[in-house]
Amino acid sequence: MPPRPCQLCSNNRAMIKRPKTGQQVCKECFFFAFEEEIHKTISDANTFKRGERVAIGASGGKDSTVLAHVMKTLNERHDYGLELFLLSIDEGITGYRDDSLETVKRNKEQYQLPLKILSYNELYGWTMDRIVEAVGKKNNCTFCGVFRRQALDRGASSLNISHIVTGHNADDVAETVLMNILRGDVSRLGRCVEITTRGEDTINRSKPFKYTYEKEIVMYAYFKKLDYFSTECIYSPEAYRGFARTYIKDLEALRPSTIIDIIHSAENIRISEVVQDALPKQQKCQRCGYISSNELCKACVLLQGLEKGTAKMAIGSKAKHVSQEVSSDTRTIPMFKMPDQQVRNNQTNQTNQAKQSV
Amino acid sequence: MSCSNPQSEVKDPGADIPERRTKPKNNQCIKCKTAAPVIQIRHALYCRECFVYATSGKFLKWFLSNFKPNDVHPVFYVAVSGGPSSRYLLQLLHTQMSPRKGKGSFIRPGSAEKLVVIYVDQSKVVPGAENLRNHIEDMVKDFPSVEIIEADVSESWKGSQASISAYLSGQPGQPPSATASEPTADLFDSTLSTSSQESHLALLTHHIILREARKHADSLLGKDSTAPLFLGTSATRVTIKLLSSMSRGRGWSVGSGEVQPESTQYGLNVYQPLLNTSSKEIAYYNRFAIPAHSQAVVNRSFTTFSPPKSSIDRLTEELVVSLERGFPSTVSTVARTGNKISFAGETKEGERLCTLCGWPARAKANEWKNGIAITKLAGEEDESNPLADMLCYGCYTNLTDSRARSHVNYALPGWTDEYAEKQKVTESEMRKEIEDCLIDDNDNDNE
Repeated sequence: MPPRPCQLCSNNRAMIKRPKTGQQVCKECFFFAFEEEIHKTISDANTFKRGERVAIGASGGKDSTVLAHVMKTLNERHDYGLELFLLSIDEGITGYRDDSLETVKRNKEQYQLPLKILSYNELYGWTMDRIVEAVGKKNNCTFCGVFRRQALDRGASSLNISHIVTGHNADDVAETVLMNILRGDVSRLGRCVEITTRGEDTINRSKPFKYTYEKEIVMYAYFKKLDYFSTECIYSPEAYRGFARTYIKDLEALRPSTIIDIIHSAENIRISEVVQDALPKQQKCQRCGYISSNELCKACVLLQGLEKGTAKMAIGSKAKHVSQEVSSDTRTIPMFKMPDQQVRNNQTNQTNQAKQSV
Repeated sequence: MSCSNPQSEVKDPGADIPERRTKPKNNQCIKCKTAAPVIQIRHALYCRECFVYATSGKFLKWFLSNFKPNDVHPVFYVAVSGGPSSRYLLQLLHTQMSPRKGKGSFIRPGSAEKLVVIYVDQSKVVPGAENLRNHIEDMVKDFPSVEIIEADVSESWKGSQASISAYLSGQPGQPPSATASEPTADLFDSTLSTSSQESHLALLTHHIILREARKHADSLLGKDSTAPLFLGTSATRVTIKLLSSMSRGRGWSVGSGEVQPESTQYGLNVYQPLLNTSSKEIAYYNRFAIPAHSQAVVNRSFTTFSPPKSSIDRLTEELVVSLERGFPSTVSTVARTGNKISFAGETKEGERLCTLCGWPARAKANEWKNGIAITKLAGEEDESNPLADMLCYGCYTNLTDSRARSHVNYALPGWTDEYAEKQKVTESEMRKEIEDCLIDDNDNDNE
């Protein structure tokens, strides 16, 4: 069979069948389309401001490694004017995170980007290994997820960074949409497909890979020969998520556009006003100052459970019964402080709004 | 950060997951507290009598909240496929319509003088499927005042002037090259992928039910009349539909919270009373309360006896059934979620509706997808796509599924021409919209 020409440039030999479009393209056209689609996602959503300090959430895995590479490339090619940093969280998982952090350290050298590593132990006084000892493997993802979210924001805040980009790809977003439907979480159903989540009391989060297929990220890393760590976490996720993940993969095999179709569905959903009115209002945690929908944020509740030896009580609906009193010798999370830049931006926005209203 | 749990950065990942199946502590019926239980529904055990009573009671409660007491309608339309859900619905509607014995103060909610059963025959398009007309006659033979309307899926193409191939080639007015009956076989035998076939068949069946009910109501009650139409969509089915619709890019088109636009076009009040009843409850009710000679019949679909990975609906069904086994609240949680969501686009008068499914649609169905992927190099012009201009994203994706072997010579259903005609903005309408900005020579500027 003669070699097929690239369906984009018609000159070179096609080497890749893109899962996203079904087109057969050459390597160069694939790189071009992959990078420019991400640029389009970023520019259409006005994701960054010129001069912004942006942290790339780096775990050493394929998504964050490709993200660091692409962000650096696009920042130079399209002159975004961003100051980029690598930000890693060390959850304290022996045989997994310590190895992947070595990859991040190599990425630091390869891309010449400053790196900050913040550990759970430093922030909460607990490592994931110890948490798993205390709560078992069944619910440990709850602790890890909640702690990581805060840790990233606190790490960014310490670097005076007001924007974090993460390597969540289209497959992850589709899986999140599905999980939110399965657990009836309509408020997050709408929010989980936003490219950037912004708030006055939170650090901006963006997902430049929102429309990028996981398979294409792997292909990009493979053909660019990028250095990444590919082992799954040793504390595997819960069975319920396993159903959703397998379902998404099987759907993709049946109809490759399904991943994007799920995102299209979620982007076009409106939540009933009655449901929206019933949602809890955002406030600041009374103990650590981090954004929360209750008086105490989830991380403080979980940490208190760990410290008191009642960690399982702090998960799910049982958390309502956890006492908010804390003795003076119990470890708590330090007060959260928004980065100065973000505070300044918020103040400017408020002043502008006041001027407009006048 | 890539952890194997992508959700972990946006949400407390372990929270709110439906509760795992637990073994009830007491081995007694939850209602009567005396009899030995025979069935577990979610986390509760029931004896046979209490289960039948509770299930009928649930239907009665729904009826009382949707119909005025003692209100008698001239007709109730009910869509019946012959399967378990529609059999269950028929039985409960029959109970509802039967005169009650005794002088009890029991409130009788709305009922009807006549029950019209609408059956859509799919046997000509689904390999191995049977015509179930005789079975349905057996089911309703003891019912008073029943009429059966039988329609054929292939009737969708009556009067069709539009074919996909013609739209794709930019000549939408061109009639299909095949005769009226041939495109049916073309669609279901060789044209589309199995996922597209099953989705399209469901859409056609739904529209035929609406059209037949409307036609009958026109002759019985007159034009512009409204009539209740009952569909036997169970909580399990709506869960499967919601998840598979999400996967098809149209996840908002399932909920019952808002009136479905395609039903308003036909002037019918569509009710789905089984949205809080699972298929397990339905199966057990049928087994306990319906005589053996008039039981439901399961007809063949495109994926009967096929492995789960044969189509989107089949795969979704497998997911829901597996989850429900371990986490029995999944179905009720997802079914309730469906009621809380709707389409975020324009919902005002004058919005564009898909000419195939009748749901609201954005201006160009392919624009969003083209916007997030580079399929052409700079300088190449976009080709016009009349098909994308008339369909919604879901229908467009379905009919141009990349797994499809070909999509030529398939005739769109006859009503697409009708819908398209309705949506055409006439020159006078356009003028009316902009008349404030037009300068008429006769106008006096000094006024």
